[in-house]
Amino acid sequence: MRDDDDDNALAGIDLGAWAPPPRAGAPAGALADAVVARAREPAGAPAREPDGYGGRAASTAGAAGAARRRWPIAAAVAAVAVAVAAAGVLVLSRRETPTPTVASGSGALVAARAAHLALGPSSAELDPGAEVRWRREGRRITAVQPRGAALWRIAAEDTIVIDAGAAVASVEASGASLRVEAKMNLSDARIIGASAATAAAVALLTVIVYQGHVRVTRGGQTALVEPGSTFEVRPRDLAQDAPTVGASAPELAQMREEIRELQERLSDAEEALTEREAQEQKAPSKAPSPSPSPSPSPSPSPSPAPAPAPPAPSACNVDDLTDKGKEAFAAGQFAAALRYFELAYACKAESHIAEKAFVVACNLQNVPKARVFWKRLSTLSRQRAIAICVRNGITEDMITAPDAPTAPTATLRLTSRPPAEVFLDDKAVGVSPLEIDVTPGRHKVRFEVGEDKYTFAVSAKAGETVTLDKQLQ
Amino acid sequence: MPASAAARTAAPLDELTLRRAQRGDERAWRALIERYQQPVHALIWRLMAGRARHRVEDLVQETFVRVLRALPGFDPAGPASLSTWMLTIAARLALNELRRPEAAALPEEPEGPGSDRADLGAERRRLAQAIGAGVAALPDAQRAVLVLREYHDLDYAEIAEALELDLGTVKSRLARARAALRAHLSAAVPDLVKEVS
Repeated sequence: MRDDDDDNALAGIDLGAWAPPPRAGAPAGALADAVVARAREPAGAPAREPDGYGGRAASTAGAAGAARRRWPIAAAVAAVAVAVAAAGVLVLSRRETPTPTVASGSGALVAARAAHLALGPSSAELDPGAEVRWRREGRRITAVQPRGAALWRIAAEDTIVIDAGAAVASVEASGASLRVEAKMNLSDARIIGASAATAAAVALLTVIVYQGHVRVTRGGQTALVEPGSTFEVRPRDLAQDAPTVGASAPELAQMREEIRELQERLSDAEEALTEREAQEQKAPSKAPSPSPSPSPSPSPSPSPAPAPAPPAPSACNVDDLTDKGKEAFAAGQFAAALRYFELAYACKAESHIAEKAFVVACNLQNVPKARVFWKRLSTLSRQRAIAICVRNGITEDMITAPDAPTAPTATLRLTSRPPAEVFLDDKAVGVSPLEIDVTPGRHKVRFEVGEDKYTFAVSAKAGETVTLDKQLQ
Repeated sequence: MPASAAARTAAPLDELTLRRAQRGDERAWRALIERYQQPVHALIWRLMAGRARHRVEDLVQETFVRVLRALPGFDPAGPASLSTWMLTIAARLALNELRRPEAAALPEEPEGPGSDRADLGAERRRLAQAIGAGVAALPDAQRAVLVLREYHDLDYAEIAEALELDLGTVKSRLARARAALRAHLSAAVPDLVKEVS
C-alpha cells in the first residue's frame, strides 16, 4: 500500500526512465545454477558471515546458518553417509560396510526424495527417483547411475568415473561440479522406442558441467566437456557412432522451452481425450456399466485385470472432486490434485480418473502412487500416460516391477512452536511441522531455533505413529 | 508516475513452491530465483549507482545464496512479504558493499545509466542519464530510501524495517533525497522537468 506521497517533489517525473540495461551474456539459468551449487555447499564450507540483515526471519536464519557451521565437520566428512531413512532414502544394499570411509567402501541407494550422498570430500545431491551405486577405492570412485539425476561435486583430490550404462556413456571427472541426468537405461529406451516423439524428446543421458573439465566417453570416443557446456546422448544417437556434443546453455534453454511447450500441448490433448472418454462412457447409447469398459485397444496383448478399487463412500460428488483436482493441477498444486483424484476414484472407480491420478503421481515423481494407479488403467490409458512418467524419470519397469518386501517403518510426527529446524539422529531432515518415516526403535530428535537447541529421545515401534509436539523457548 | 510500477508486477511465488523451497527442493529454489532475480538485480544495480559495477552480479548471487540459506526461517505469515524480505537482504548487502573502502576508493566514471540503451528515445535517454547521475550523487543512506520507495514500492514502515531506521528518519531522508534529485534534474534537464511540472 502506498503511503501518502502528496508532497513528493518528484511527482510527474518519469523516474522509470532510469532502469538497468538488459542483462546480457549470462545464459538462462546460470544464476540459479551458481546459487544452487553454493547453497548446497556443505555446512563447513567457507562462507562469509551474514551481516545481520535484520528482521525476525533473517536473523533467525542467520543464527541457524551459524549453528550449522558449528556442526562437527570432521564427522560429516568422515562418514560417507547415505542420507538415510529419515530423508526417505531406501538403502538397497551395502556390500562391505554400512558407513564406508574415505579409504574404501561401496553402497547403493535409490532416493525416494531429494537426498545428499557424502563421499568423503566429494558428494552428490540426488534428485527424487535417482539411483546410484558406487564404490570408493582410495581416491578413485566408480559409480553407476542408471536412472535419475544427480549433481556431483568431485573434489580435486578425487576422481570419479560414472557409468551411465556401458552402451550409453561413461563420465570421468576430477575437481569438477557436474549434473548427470540419466533418463532411462537401454531396455527402457527400447520400451519407449515405440513412440518416436518421446524418443526424440528425451535424452538418455545429459551431462551439464558447471566447473572443471569432464571427459565423456561413448562408443570408443572421448569428448572433453567444458564448463557451461552440455553433453547429451539421445536414443537415435545409439544407432550412430558420432556423439552429439556441446549444446550451449542458450540452446539447451531453448530446447527445454520447446519441450515444455510440447508437454503443455500434450497435457491439453490428454485432457481433451480423457474428457471425451468420460463423455462417451456417460452417453445414453452405451449400456450403463458399474465398471469402466476400456476403449477397444489396438494392442493385441490382453490387459491385466484392473486391481480392486476402494469402495465408494456413501456421499461424494465425483464431478466436483474431479474438477477440484483439475484446478489444483492447473495451479501446480500436484499433491492436492492427487488427493482430489484419489477421492474421486474412491467415489467412482473410473479409468479416466485413475489416469488423472496416475499422471499427477508421475508429475510428483511419486512412484508408489503411480504403481497403485497403473494397475487400474486400461491398456489405452497406459499407452497414453506412460510417456509422462518417463519424462519424470519413472520408467515402466519401476511401475510394473513386483512389489519389493519393504522394511518395517514407524512414523514420527514432529511439530514445534515456533517452527524449527529438525535434526533426526543428527541429520537435518527439514523444518517443523513435518512427518517422517523412520526405522523402528529409538531416535534422537533435535529442534534448533537460532542458536537454541532442544533435544528429545523418542521411541517408535513398527507401524506406530509417534507425535512429538513441543513448545520451544 | 511512480517508477515502482514494475517493481511488484511479478506475481508472488505460490505458497506450495515457497514451502518446497523452504524444505530445500531444488526446482522450487530455481523457480524462486527466476521469479525474483530481476527486481533483486535492479535494486542492487540502482543502489550501487555506477560504483563497483563489477560487483553487481556477485551481489545478486550472494543475495540469493543468503536467501536460500535463510529461507527455512522465513515466516510467510510474518510482517514482511517474501519479496520485501529478499529486497531487504539485497539492500543491506549493497549498502555494506558501498561502505567498503574499495568501493569508495574506486569511483568509476558516472555510468550514465541508459546511455547505451538503443531502446530508449533520445529524450528519455537524457532523462535516464540525468536521473542516474542525480541518484549517484545522493548520500548512500538517502539513495537507499529513495530507491526502495520510488522503484520498489516499499512503504515507509517496510523501509524503516529494512534499513533499521525510525519512521521519521525514513520520511526526512526521503524528502531530502527527492528534493536533491529534483534540484539536480531541474539543472541538468530543465526542459524535461519543466515539461512535467
